[in-house]
Amino acid sequence: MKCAKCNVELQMKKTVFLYLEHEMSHEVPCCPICGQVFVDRELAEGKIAMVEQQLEDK
Amino acid sequence: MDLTFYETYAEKCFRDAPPPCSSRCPFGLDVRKFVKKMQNGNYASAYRTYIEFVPFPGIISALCPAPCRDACVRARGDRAVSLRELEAACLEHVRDRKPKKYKSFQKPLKIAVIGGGLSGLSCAWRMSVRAYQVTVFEATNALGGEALKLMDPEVCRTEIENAFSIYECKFVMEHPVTSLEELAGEFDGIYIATGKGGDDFGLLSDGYHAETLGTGRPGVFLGGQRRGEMDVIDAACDGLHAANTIEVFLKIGAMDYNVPRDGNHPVDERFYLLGYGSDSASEESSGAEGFDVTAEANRCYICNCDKCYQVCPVMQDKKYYPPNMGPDITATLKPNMSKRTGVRVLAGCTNCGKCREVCPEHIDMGACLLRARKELKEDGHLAAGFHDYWMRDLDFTLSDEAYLVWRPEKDRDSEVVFFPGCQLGASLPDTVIDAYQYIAKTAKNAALYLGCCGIPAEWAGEDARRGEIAAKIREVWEELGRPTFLLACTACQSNLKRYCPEIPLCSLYQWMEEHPEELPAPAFAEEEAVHVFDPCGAAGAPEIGQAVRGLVARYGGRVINEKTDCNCCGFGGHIYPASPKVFMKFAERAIAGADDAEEMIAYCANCRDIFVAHGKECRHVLDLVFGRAQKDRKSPTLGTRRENRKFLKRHFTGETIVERKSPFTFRFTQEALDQMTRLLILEEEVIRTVEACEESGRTFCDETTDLFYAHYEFENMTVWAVYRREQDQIEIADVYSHRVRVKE
Repeated sequence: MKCAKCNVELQMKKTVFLYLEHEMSHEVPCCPICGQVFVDRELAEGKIAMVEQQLEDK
Repeated sequence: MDLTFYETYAEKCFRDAPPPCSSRCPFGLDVRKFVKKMQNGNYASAYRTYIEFVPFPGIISALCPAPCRDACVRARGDRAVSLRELEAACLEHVRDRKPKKYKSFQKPLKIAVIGGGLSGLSCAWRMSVRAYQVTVFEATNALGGEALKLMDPEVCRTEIENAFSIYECKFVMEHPVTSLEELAGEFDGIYIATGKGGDDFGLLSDGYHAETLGTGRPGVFLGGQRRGEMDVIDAACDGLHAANTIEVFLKIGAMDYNVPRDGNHPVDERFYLLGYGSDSASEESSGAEGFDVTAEANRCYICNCDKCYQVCPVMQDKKYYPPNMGPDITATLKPNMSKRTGVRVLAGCTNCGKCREVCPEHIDMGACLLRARKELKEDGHLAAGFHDYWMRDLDFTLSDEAYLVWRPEKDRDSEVVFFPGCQLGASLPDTVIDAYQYIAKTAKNAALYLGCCGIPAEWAGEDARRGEIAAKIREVWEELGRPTFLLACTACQSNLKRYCPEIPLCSLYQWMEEHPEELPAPAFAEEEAVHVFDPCGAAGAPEIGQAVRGLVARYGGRVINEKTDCNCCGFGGHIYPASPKVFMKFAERAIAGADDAEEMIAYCANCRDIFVAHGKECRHVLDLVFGRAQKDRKSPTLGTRRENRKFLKRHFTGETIVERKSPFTFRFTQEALDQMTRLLILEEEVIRTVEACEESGRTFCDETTDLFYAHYEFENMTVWAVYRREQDQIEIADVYSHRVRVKE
């Protein structure tokens, strides 16, 4: 997977996510130049959805 | 926030209250627990349950007059469950009936029991189990008293020996106690159970307390047949009760502290109203081969009220009954809770009102949960994502693109105003036009009001917003000359009835029933069997369902279910984002309930669209009246729903809208469209996502598949679009979203 803007391969990077006043971090592919973060469907509907549900029940 | 409201809300609920048989049982036997084990053939376990309540099982089961028999709900149907025979069968099946010894340190306190009949022995047994030092003084040379005359004395002796076999209870035989003074110094508590004609030591006169069995002399209690006319079973219960009151005396020194008795309580008559025993032609358990234990145990209904549970997928999902909902709601609403266990229940209730309808006490758990949802919202703990889509949809309904108040003659009052509701126009815009044209022929200067009744705000817990909408509706009503609102949506009708009580309301279907002359001609088509689905919004107004049935019959449908019975399709409460599984259960259950006909007829646009999406043939009753749609017409996509509402407004105003031009031409694959419907994402949101990323160049590219990935952060969600690009042609292949934000 490439960043189309910077035309470089993405690299795994620890990224902070925010939801309902909670912060959590996870390693996800990012562009090493512009820093934009890539979330694929598997992550969105898997781990992220699970964390969202846990935080909504808090 | 008044948390006691939630703790006490369901206090009239009698779920898990003792059934009539347990209430009437002198020992308060937990019949549900006992019979369930007997049904499963788990006799040893059933026996353990039995002896938790009953001191000498072989004696009690033989001599008990079984008041449970008259109390049994089946006694009013075919025949009461023979609990006494089940108890006897249980004893017969259990080989090892030796009591189990549990480690306990003997207490230093000494108890004297005067009289070795069943009453005295019951007291001695319970105090021995509780590790007191007990001495029984018996005047004769045998234990058992009157029971010895009523049954096989050998069985009686064996039972008593077995019950005391593991305890260090002393028996002083042939020792009539003539004066309490000989015991007073040595014993901390005394129970007098000298039987009929026995000595009362002058204590049964002044100061005797019949409830606690306490006498005027501290530490001395008196019970059993000496205190009055009673059978041996009641005498045994007196002994057990005396053990309890003596223990209270030993702990706090009180002779008049009223401990509840184990059994013989008033029967809760509500169990007889649950409809048990109506299938009186049931299986018999005694035949040529004798008493069939399992069959007899299975005749027991294990009475318990589960009326609301049976009709509510929310309760079934979390195994909730009203009594255990209260503590979870309270825990969810408490400030600073680390885990709010009831969030999905608050957010998952459709407010269909079915629980209230079926509850013998009419407890409305929906109202309780909605109030809790509002309080949770006010406290900021209801996730915005739960109602985000519907609140944006509400904004759209009230926006210039879709909102309309229109009438042919602007300066003349309207007799009626047609209020189709937000989703009928979204789903069936042509039908709304047909319906308005019909209404216009039946009333003077009929107006059309394309707006929202405010129910999405009510369900989202946004009371202030709902209040603003209601105020706006009242204002429009005044401006139009106070017309009657004609409603096509029963949810709008119930909501307006509640929040705009001054506005006269009439269901469109009843209006049609009263003004048939302008309706399309009745059908001559062959009658087709249909199942009319009554939506939850029509609860409490069966006349609407009857008017709909009349219309269905007029247009060629043969209604299978004549009686109005309101249910929920799952749309109510906008629960889908928070509880998709429960939503599906509502829909599936509603469809399963209509398996008596190929086709369903709905009179709520949401019900229709949900049923069709689940593969069931369904038409809106207005489709039938105006002959518009096919029964398998697909539910429109979310984007089309908005386009339909825009179209509807333009149809009446005649205005043209200059559509925004996109530099791209978009095409959506069916997979992407399905995914968007599932996630409540609009076409225009996906287009905005792609356009924004194409403009900034901030996309990702998978060179192996030639797929591009774009994302855009909306207020409460981030949308990802996966697409192929060929010059200005964009094909959306997939869409997904998440609510967490990336801290970039």
